[in-house]
Amino acid sequence: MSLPDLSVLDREEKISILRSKMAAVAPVIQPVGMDVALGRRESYSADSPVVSGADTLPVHSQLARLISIGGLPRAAVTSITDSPSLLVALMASVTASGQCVAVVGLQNFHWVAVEEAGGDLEKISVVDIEADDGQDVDPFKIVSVLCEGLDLVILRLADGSKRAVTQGIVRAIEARLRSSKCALLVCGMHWPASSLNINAELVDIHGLRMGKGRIKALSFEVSVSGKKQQPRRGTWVIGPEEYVRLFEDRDQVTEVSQVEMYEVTG
Amino acid sequence: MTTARVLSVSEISNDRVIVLWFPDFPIYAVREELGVNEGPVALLGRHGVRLCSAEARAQGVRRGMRKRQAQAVCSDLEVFDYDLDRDGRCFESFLSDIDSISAGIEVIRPGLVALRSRPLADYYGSEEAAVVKLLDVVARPGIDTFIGAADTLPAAILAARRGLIVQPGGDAEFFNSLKLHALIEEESLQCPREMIETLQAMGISAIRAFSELPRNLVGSRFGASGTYWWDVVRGDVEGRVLDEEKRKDWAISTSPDSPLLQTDTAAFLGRQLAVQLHERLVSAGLICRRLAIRAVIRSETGDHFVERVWRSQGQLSENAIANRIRWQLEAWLAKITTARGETEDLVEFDSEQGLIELALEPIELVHTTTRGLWDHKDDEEVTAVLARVQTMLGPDKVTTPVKTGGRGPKERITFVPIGESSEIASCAQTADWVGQLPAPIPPVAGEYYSTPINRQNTAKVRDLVQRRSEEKEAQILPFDVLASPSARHPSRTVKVLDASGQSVAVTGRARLTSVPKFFRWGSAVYEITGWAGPWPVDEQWWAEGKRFARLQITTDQPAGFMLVCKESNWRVEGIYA
Repeated sequence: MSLPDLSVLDREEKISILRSKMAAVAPVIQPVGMDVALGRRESYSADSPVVSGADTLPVHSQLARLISIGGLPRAAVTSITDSPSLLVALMASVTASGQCVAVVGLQNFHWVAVEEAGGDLEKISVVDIEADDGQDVDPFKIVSVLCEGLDLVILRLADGSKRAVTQGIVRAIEARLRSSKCALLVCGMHWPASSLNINAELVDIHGLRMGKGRIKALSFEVSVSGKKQQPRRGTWVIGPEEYVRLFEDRDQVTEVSQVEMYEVTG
Repeated sequence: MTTARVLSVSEISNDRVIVLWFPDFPIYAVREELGVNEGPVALLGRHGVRLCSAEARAQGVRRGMRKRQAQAVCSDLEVFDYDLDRDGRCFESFLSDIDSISAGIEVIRPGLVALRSRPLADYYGSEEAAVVKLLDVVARPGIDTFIGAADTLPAAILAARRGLIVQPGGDAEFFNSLKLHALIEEESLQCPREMIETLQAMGISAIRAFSELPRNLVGSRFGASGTYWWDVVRGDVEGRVLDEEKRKDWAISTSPDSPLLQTDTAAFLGRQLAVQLHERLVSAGLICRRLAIRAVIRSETGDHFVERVWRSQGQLSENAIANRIRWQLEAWLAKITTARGETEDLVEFDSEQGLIELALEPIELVHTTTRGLWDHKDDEEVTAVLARVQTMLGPDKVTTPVKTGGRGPKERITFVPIGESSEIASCAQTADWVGQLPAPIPPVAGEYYSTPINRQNTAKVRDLVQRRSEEKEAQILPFDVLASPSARHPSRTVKVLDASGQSVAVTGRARLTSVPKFFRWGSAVYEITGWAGPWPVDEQWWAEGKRFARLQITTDQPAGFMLVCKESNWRVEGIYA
């Protein structure tokens, strides 16, 4: 594209001409697939109804109502608190809908719990990255391969892991993700610029008293935030239906102001 | 079972193999290459004597002895390091002799060669004639030759070690006559030693007894390799040879700029090629079990085309391929250099001789996943990706959890490598297990967290303990633990304490000694807000000691724990968080 000779014009005119040129160029430069791939869509605002399941993975309705797109975004990174009960619930809902899940670094997990929560164990692949012959396995490399074919990949680094999430890793994995239909869920670690953050805190355990009963349900205080995501907070009760119903009436979703949100996420 | 009659060619199946075995080949290689005369010789591996000659054996030297021990037993023992490369080089001269009467040799390892029986029998009239011919051509002083034939390779290898010709269709019968131990006598068969040892510990010492076990039970106990060997000893394993056209797709070759004569440089080139091939196979999720190494070598008499086929029961890894190329090239190139060394001066090297082309062609490829993971078409991508990860990490590192029978949360799951049938594992599941831990199961085991959960800062916990101790006007709770520098302390001791700070235990009659009030995990102290139990478990009386009690607690953190008390020691079995 050639530009007219601008040297004769004064500053104001130059700027206005260049602005108009840029406006004409902008739609071309804007990578079209990008926004869709990141789980965002031009069409919906924070208040728009849940979009179709093609771009998201189904989650439990109690969580779905907090997320503006109604599920875990595909082709994007979601970070979540390292809370195994949440992972169980998420894996259960995703596998129950027939999607395939691979988990990296989830050792010492009781997989029966997923089955009990209604999940389908056949759809789960467990990747063991614990090195047993001194060879260090790079979990990020494994994740970037898995992203190409699975619907959900869950990555958790052991507490003591010295691996840091560097800009290079983030860029490489997100590039792979964008061209796939996979949702990456990173668990208990900081991921710069993840498109959805789910923070959860265990606030109550129901069913057990001093000397009697047994644990029946867990309630979590969940707050979500992220790009194109109005920060929201609500309760998620994981357990049998009767417990969920017990809390339904007094529970409402609250829209959280940005300032408050920072306090929550720290 | 030796030949009772002459086999007609039509009776010989296409897969039938003849195997030649040269016992103690490494010893022969040492004598040849290093010019060691008759006398006791031992070869040392990493952990002592790996192999010894018959003379040494007669004087009491045994496999696995330490070097000093062996020398003490046999004073005139000559000791050398075990060197696979030397064997590879030395074996080449045998191979070229066999080459002169037969095409399509497959080397299993130095000292063990397989040949297809059908073409030989076709050419020489009968298998027996071919066997005689082979024995003639390899006969040389200082080494014995054993020959065997059978319908499948594993059977033929074992037959060769006994000098037997197994009749067509007689594989199963042949195996049945052997002891189970025979399967691990030949390393290149790669039969899992633990499996054999376990079977022997179970009282199964004959192959016949092993082959009479139900297939699904063998599978559920020993996995895919168990069923593979079960198939082998029953004489049905099919070959998976690629057809001519497909082979061409995988073949790769390279030509150096100028002919190479230095073995080192040529081997380096070979290694590069091996890496390339390996990467291509890995990305396609394939494993190579049979490989042809081809080279074109230019010498004074013209260009020679040489080929050697290598075979392995397991995967031919990148390193294994590279090693085999090196052995081959060393032997081939040595022929030129020695021929020339006699006639010419080494200074007058003309660069017109040496290796001018090297090619690798996989002949037998196996998919890492022999069966689809989930039998849908959409999941092809998933299967391919998982297979790729399997080739990166090893097949048993990518698994799928399968529900099996059991009561505790851990027992109820078995991990089955992806690509293997999960039916085998799940058939161990019976309809009902009375006394299963009721739902919800704690989602993770105690080891999930490398440090005890401690979301609140320690000051608060310290505060709590302080307050408690002030109330009691005494230091009841152990402060020393709180003062320890890190919660990562390896002990991670778990204790349940009552209001007065005394340890709580479960009695033999499944009663708590007192009411639990505090729960200590490493350096973290929690106040118990709810508890239930103890729920006694008394299982597996035959294994001794599966007798414990469970206690479920919730704490002020908040978190839920499933604790297990065994002989007044507590551990965290599961965590609700």
